[in-house]
Amino acid sequence: MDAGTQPPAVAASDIRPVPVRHFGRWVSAAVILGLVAWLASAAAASGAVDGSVVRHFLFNHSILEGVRNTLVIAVAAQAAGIALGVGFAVMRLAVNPVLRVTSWVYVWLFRGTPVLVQLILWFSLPLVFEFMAIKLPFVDVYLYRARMVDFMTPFKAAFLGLALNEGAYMAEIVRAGIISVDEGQVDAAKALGMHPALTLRRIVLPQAMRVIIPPTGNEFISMLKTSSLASVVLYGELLRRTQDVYSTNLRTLDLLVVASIWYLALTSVASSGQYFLERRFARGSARDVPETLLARVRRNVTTIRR
Amino acid sequence: MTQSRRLRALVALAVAAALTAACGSSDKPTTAAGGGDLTDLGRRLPAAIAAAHNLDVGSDVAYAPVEFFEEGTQNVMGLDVDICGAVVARFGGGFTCRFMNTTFDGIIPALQAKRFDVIMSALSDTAERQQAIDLVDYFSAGTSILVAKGNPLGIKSLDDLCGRTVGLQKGTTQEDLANTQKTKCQGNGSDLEILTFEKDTDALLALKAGRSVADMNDFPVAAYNAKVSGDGKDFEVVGEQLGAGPYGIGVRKDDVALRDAIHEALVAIIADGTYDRVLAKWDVRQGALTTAAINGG
Repeated sequence: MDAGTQPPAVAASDIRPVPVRHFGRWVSAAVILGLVAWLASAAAASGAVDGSVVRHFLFNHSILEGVRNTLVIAVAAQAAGIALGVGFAVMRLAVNPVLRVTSWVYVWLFRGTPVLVQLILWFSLPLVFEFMAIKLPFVDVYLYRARMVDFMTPFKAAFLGLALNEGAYMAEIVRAGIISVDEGQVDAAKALGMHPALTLRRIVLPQAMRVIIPPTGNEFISMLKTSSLASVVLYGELLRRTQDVYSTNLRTLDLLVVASIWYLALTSVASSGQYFLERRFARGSARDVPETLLARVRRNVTTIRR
Repeated sequence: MTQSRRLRALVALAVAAALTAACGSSDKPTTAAGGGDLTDLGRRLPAAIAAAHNLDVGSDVAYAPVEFFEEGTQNVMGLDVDICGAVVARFGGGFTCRFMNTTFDGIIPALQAKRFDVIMSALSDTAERQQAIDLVDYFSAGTSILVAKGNPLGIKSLDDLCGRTVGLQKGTTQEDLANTQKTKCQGNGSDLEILTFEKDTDALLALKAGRSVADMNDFPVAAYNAKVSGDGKDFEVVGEQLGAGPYGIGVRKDDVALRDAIHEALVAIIADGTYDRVLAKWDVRQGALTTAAINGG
């Protein structure tokens, strides 16, 4: 064999690895950034939104109270919605046909009508019932008695409307979670002598959580925004407070930008919260827990490619 | 077994706690009663109102300068607030008006549902509204037409609106006025498109965006909008005031004692010049009444 035809041996140190160049990424990023900059500058040039007005009202006391009220109503309504959802989902899967039908009717009614209509109906309840009272049976003793207009405050009307509507959606989400748990798990629990309530609490719900958590986080983010509908029943949430300002100074667009900035801030915080919840409940099923945003940033920064 | 009983007890406890929380709380604001004795007029008020030394007033607080929130706060101010203050001052005892925000198109049902004692919301006294409630008249306002600054379409009267689009607040007398004009336009083979909005500010936005060519509202409001919006560069008022009619303080039909006390107080503040000073403060003296009629519209 002729030794001269053999390729020359290459030392490993001579290989210079070159990462794959992603020219497409650079071009698309440039095009998108350019478009965004063009739109932003065109909108700014029109002068429709005055940045100084936006800055002035961003931390206005009344607006900040609105942000707080939005958080209060969203958290309260979502918490109540989750409780209702778990209750009605369990009822829906019960053996008792009365419970099953009750749950079905609840979901049908509250998921089937617009939440805006429900809010207005709750707020108008004083037209139907003049008094709200809790009376001990057989004796003339009232534990609580008030005119309905005093009882059904904007907060309560908003809370009832949002929570009952949310409960119907949560019931379906929880039901989907429960039926996603393998039936063999229930059989095994039975074989170990657990009764149904304990099985639900110890075996089914913890495994169902993995399926329930992502859409629930989604529901909460949605609730933060849907709570703006409570402005029609005069609850002083973010949008209402914004309207109160622009009805006086007539700077409608500037104030709507203020509201949007706060809604974005709230939903951004909620999204990151959901991410960590998902990480926690992914334990035991996912092989690798997804890394956090911070960890990803750190990795990308410390391993810059040429 | 004990496990399940404990769980059940826990659930029962939680339910009970939730029930008491839901039914026990009452966020009724406390009104400070005091500040001396009621006048003779004040003593003729219905007992509950006299005892509270406060009048709850329903109002759609989005109609500057008649009623509006001080910019960036929740303090209600405006012409109606000051007139109410002057009226209840006649009742003595440090009497106050508490303005409660509500929506305009639902304001009369809300009064009937006893959400408040009276309503003051730049509410025009009309025969139709008199069917439902009594109105004590306190001001006279006609409608002004508001157009884009410079009046590019040369609009001077309602007839100039034929074939165009007008935007205004739902449930207002201006809506009736526009509907009448629409029929008139149609009689001339033209049409008038009417956009109705929840709030007058929404109608203003439609005008600014070019969705409509005019907004119609009460003269003090039109003047305020022209002055304030875009620092006076957005709108202007055109033409004469149309169909001037009184604003009334709305009272439930069966609340005769309250209605008469408010009427008597109004007559007194008109006589002693307080009324005139309030109107001068808001620069709306051309809307002054010489007598306060009941259901005079």
